[in-house]
Amino acid sequence: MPLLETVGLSKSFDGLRAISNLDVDIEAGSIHGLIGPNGSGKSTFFNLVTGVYQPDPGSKIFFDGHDITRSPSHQIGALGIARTFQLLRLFSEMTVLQNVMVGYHTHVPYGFLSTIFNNSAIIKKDAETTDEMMELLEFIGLADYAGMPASELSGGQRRLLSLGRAMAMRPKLLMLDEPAAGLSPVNVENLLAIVMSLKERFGLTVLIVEHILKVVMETCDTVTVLDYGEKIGEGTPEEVKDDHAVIEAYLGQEMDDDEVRATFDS
Amino acid sequence: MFYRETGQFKTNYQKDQQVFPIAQDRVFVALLLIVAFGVVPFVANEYWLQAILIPFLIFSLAAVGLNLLTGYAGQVSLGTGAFMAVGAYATYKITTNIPEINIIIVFLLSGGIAALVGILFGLPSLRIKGFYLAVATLAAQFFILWLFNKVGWFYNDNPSGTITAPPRTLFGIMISGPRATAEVRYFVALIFLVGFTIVAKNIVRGRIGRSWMAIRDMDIAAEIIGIEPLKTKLMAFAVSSFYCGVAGALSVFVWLGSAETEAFDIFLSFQILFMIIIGGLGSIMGSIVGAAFITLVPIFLTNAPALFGLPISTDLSKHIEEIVFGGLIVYLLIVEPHGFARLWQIGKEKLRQWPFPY
Ligand SMILES: Nc1ncnc2c1ncn2[C@@H]1O[C@H](COP(=O)(O)OP(=O)(O)OP(=O)(O)O)[C@@H](O)[C@H]1O
Ligand SMILES: [Mg+2]
Repeated sequence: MPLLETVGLSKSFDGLRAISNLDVDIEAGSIHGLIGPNGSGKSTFFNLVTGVYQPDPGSKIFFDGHDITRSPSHQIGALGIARTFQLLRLFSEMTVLQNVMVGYHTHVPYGFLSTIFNNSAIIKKDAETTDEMMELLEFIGLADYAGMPASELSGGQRRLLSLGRAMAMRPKLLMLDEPAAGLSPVNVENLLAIVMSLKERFGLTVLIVEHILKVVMETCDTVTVLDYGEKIGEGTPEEVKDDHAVIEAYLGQEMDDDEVRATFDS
Repeated sequence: MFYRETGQFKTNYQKDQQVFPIAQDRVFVALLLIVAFGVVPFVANEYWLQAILIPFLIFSLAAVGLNLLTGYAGQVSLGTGAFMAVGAYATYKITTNIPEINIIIVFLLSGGIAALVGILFGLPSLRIKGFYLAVATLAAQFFILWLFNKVGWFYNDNPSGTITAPPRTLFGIMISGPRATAEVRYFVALIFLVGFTIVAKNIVRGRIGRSWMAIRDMDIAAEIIGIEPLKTKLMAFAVSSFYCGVAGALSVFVWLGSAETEAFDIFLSFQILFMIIIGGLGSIMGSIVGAAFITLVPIFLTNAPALFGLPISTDLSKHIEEIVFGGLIVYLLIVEPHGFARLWQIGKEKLRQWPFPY
């Protein structure tokens, strides 16, 4: 059984079909790529799965045995889906440490009264959480910035923090919306290495949207290709690479094999 | 909005979780408490206590409450005066009907009632934000005061339309009513402020405070992380209104002695809002500094002409006071839009680097 499954998923905005009758299965333990030209509906797919948008009637979304089609975002998060945003959406006035502490939020249930009187059990629990979160920051290379407001980080550090915040949720499925956008090649490598080792360490399933095709081809087990909200191709990177319908839609023109290879490998 | 030392980074969590994690702050606060408890009540005269210090303490409490809602949870409110009125009128109703309940307990119960009213008027925050939410809370302000004016039940159908503090004691000491001394009432207000400030500090540095700030900074991301916006926002309204309610109760029962609804009008709401803006949104101590500024500066300005021997009529001096005060607020906000909390931070940085500033 797939970890995430959409059946007939559709979403229109005032007549514009952003996602059209989409069936996608994401297998547990896989790294699944989602590619497609600008405006093809990738971010909309993320927003539908995480409850930011309500899908059109007739759509179904299942996650880990639960029907989450109409669930509110906070429940979806609690079930084990974490995501990053194309526009990051960090908690900019909060410190780096607080950003990840919030991510860990659902895992530290404690009551209002014990908080306001700050009893020793709370102090201990908060200390444990902090240790765990500092370890996570260490892992993604942001430990030195723990006390700094997120707004003061560099662009690359913000991308790392948005990944860290998602990971703090200890998710089963991690959804990354263009995690490498705007990073230098070295930083892209670094980020991928972090994602891969997080995947290994926590047995994650990863869904990744990425325009840098080289990244997708190198890391993904399965790739789904969207165009105008419809699935126009799916398979292993090798299969997708050889699918001329995909190439045509995605790259906008028919190309010979050498040109294709050059595009995917660059 | 939210500041924290970057230099003194704590690796030890227990240390980080102290109420005042930075040494300078701890010393400063300890001194302040010693002066407030051990010096002020013995040197200040009746006028100082009644006209300056007690209102300052009560407004500080309300400002801390509003800052939790607006500075930390990001929900703008112009209903502070009304929530204070709820606390005052609830205390009046309870203590006149059931005089056996100790007045301190009644204050807290009234805070609870204000919290419920706060939740009710916080419901629109789920759909609307910022300026529009402010207008919705304004509706609370006008509706609640109108209700307390209109319905005689709230003031026991008393022909004067006022609520009056009856004599009430704690451990045999008169703390409310005409025979309570200014010193005692000062202590009551001070203890409430200190206790509630510590609680506020505990809230904002723990999980609840973090969820408020997350909603404030980026609500979509907060929700996906598992924070329920409805619950979180309403909790902020409840806690904030609780603080304001207790402050309102104190303002009638340990300060004014009697009041009508005018004491809690929209002007009061704005005054408390100014306090937290000047003091610093998202800073508990800033709220108190802002309250000090807004209460003390007008008094200084009123007395300044006489102090310098200028022969100015009280009428004119009142107008001058308002102009200078307004100008001062504008100037401060231009110089440091983040208020005194930020200035304090900068000042400490300078001090730490002294004498080698670079
Ligand atoms: N909230 C919205 N209201 C109206 N239209 C929207 C909304 N969100 C997305 N769309 C439309 O849906 C289509 C798909 O947008 P989406 O953001 O999902 O594309 P994308 O594949 O993520 O593109 P990119 O690669 O540029 O990030 C676009 O035509 C977009 O204009
Ligand atoms: Mg997108």
